Amino acid sequence: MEYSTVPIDSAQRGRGPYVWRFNRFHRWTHFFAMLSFYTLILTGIPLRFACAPFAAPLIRFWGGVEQAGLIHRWMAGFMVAYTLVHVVYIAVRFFRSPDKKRWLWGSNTMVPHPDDARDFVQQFKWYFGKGPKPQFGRYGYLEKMDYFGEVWGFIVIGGSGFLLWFPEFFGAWLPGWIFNVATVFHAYEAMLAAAFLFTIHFFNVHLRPDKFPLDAVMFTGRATLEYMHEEHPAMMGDLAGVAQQPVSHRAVHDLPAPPPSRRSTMFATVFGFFAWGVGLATIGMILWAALC
Amino acid sequence: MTLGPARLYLALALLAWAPSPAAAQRLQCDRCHGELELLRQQVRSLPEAERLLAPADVLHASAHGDMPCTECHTGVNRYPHAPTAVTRACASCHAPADTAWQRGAHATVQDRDPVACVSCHGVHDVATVETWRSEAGIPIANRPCVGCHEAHSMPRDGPHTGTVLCASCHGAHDVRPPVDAASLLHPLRQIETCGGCHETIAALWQEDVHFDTLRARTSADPHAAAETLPGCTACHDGHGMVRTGGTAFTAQSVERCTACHERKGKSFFGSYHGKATALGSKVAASCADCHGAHGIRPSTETASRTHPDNLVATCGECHTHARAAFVRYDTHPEPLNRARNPWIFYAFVFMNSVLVMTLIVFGLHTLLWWIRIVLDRRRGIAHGPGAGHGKGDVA
Repeated sequence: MEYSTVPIDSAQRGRGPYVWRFNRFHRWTHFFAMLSFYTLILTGIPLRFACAPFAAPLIRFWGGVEQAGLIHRWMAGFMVAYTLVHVVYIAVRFFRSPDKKRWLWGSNTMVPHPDDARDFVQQFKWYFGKGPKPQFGRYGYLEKMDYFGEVWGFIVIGGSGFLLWFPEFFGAWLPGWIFNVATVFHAYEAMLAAAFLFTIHFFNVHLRPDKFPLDAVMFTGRATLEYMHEEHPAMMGDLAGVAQQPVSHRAVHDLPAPPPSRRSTMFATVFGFFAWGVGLATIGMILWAALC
Repeated sequence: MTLGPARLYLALALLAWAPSPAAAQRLQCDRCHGELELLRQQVRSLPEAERLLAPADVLHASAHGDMPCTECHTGVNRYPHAPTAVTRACASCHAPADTAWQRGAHATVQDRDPVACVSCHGVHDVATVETWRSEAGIPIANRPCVGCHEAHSMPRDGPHTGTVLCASCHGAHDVRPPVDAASLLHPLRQIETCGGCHETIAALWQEDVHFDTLRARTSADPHAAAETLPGCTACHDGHGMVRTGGTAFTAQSVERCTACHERKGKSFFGSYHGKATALGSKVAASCADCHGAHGIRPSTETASRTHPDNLVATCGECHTHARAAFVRYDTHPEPLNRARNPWIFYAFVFMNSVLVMTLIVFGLHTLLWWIRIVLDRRRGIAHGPGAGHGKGDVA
């Protein structure tokens, strides 16, 4: 890549070579998560804040409140579908992994670990100059928070949404106030998810001054070795020794990758900016609605 | 011998038909008063000539039909007409209408001439009541009213536009401002006035709790301001009336109900029904869908649609499989009212705590990170990919 200036995509900054960080499956799952989450938020938010000035135009955009509701439910169904596929994928990956202990407990794992709590404390110590920056593995506590936050959100929003979808069915044996309670859970968990993703996730991933304005690694799937070294130093041993390990012990994506093409970089950049623009606009809408 | 019109008419009468004496007289008058040009030459003024114009065919088609001209105009038997010629007052025949008119607002209008009989009825083209009540006659009858009361003209697509006479609601002769207690449109009298056409609704309305309120308030204070009393127009409006059944009417009625029932409005708009209604849903329940429109009773009474015993039926109108458990849904939830529904309260408090705590912890996490990076930059310590810490040649 012959950039005379700093690349917009922070995953392309620093010296190479490139390594795979996210495989095709991760990237599609994340894309589906974005697509469904954005659609669910943008069809749900005008109902949640029906009194706000943006509610009526947004509802007109979806073709009326009934149609917005229909799109919302279809997207919820889509979310359940890819989540099930994702669960199957995780199960297959686990049962096929040659080293179960490493899968669960190594520097590559998504499984929460006592070290994550230690890293969280260490991060705050670092903020106050009381220690070095924590050394994250492939997935630090921030990535695990994002992931398990979505799991929690999926259960709470999905469960309450399912109740609200079929009130007559569930109302046959559950007391009706359960729908009042479900409405509260659904609305506030959705607001939490939007607020978390569109401010905290965005800052951690894209807007931090040292990564600003964009990190497209989830779209192109690859990052420079220097990026990995800076952001995920605890896995560097694994990466360095990757050539020495038997093939069966390597994660597929721990392989050197070709640099992303201009086209995929361009797509990732435009898509990334569009997504965080819509996300920040959504935060703007929530704040605007707080006035009504 | 020349065949003058009088002789001609006589000849015609003999030949084909025998006109009544009144008709014969009218035709005689028509010789001058039917010819605008002739009149203009005589009086040398077009407006004056137009005032004097009274063609026989117009008279014949009018409500006064075959009445002779001299019934109203006395002292005009000869030509030139006697200087004492006068026009008799309408009241000489229409005494009750005149008495009513004397009482009404039109007889005493300020800073202009009173609105007299002819202002609305016309002069020689006086229409019959039957004509005015016909489909084609209504817009014609309403025209003189709108001529003065321009600001109160009906909207083009209003449900009463072109189908109801102004006078049907406002009264014909004894017309008064609606705020007047004697007006047909005073909230207390609307049950008869509107009920004249809307009979079944009026019968239901008599049972309505708002009608109780209306009677109680007007008997407690006979001078209570009409705008504050719950009559028909409090919800339906007069001239700005919106056709029932559409989303525009739903929006308007919810607005009207919640204008008085503020707290219930707030909790309604906090529920799914309210939010979807606010966004123009055609199916979500609004006030009248559950409480009824006319004949509303408080939920404490067994006759009420919202009495606990009737909820399965009422909710069941939309939620076809509603059961006793289902109707324990709170359609007016107040999340901060622990006594009303503790579970909503606890859910609300729990979810708000989770939301606020997460945002505080991670907001701080974010803010401090930002500060750390900025402070380090000032001291020449760079972070992030490309900062040069990494060993790019590892692999």
